[in-house]
Amino acid sequence: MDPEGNETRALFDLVDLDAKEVLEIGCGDGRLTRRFEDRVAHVTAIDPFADAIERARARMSGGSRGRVTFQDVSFERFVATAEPATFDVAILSWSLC
Amino acid sequence: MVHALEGIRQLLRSNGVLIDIHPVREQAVVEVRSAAGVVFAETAPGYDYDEDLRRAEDALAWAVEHELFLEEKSCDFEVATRAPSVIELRGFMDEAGAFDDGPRDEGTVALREAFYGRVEDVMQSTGRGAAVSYRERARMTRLPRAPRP
Repeated sequence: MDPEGNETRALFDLVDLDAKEVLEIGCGDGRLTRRFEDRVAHVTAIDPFADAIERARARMSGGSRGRVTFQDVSFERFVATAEPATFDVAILSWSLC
Repeated sequence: MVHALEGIRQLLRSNGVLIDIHPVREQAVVEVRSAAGVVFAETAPGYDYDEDLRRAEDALAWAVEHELFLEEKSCDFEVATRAPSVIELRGFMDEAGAFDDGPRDEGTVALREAFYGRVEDVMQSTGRGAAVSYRERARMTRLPRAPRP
């Protein structure tokens, strides 16, 4: 998907992710996560579908694992337990509608 | 959606930024290419997302109007999913959850099956080197957290 890298290019044009604490909402199988995780300090990537998160974890390279935390949790549950003012960037990844 | 945007604002630091990515209100296109160029390009049938997209856009507009976020800039781009066969394309799309999860009424399912049957026929008649892609347009918007108390 997106072999031209149009989505990644647009993302890097719009926001500086270097050394940032990032929350990705609706990460699915981690398709987009894998394309930006090497820039960030840490990314918490959430999705309510456990099977998608399983695939995301399986596809993440070993060297990236410390930088990425995948969680199968709905945004409502996540926001209820997360500390406020934790993230520099939130990416709403094809999930608002 | 509005509650989700309020929740995101709460999780962001004071100088935090929200990046929203969602498809634009434009039907995706399925395209078959051979070495000579495009041999088939038609709008993909499926659940009509217009109402969902309108609600998403309204929620973002509400969040800007109520000073949760500032709308700074946005850009449109195309995302393509390419595969060497229709079966693989549909497999990729299903796995990514990119096919609609809206109402799967029999009429839509039948229409879609017939459509991909035709795409498969085009692939077969095009022969070796044919590739199929699903192309959709999306919008990415940068919304810094507004400096509201």
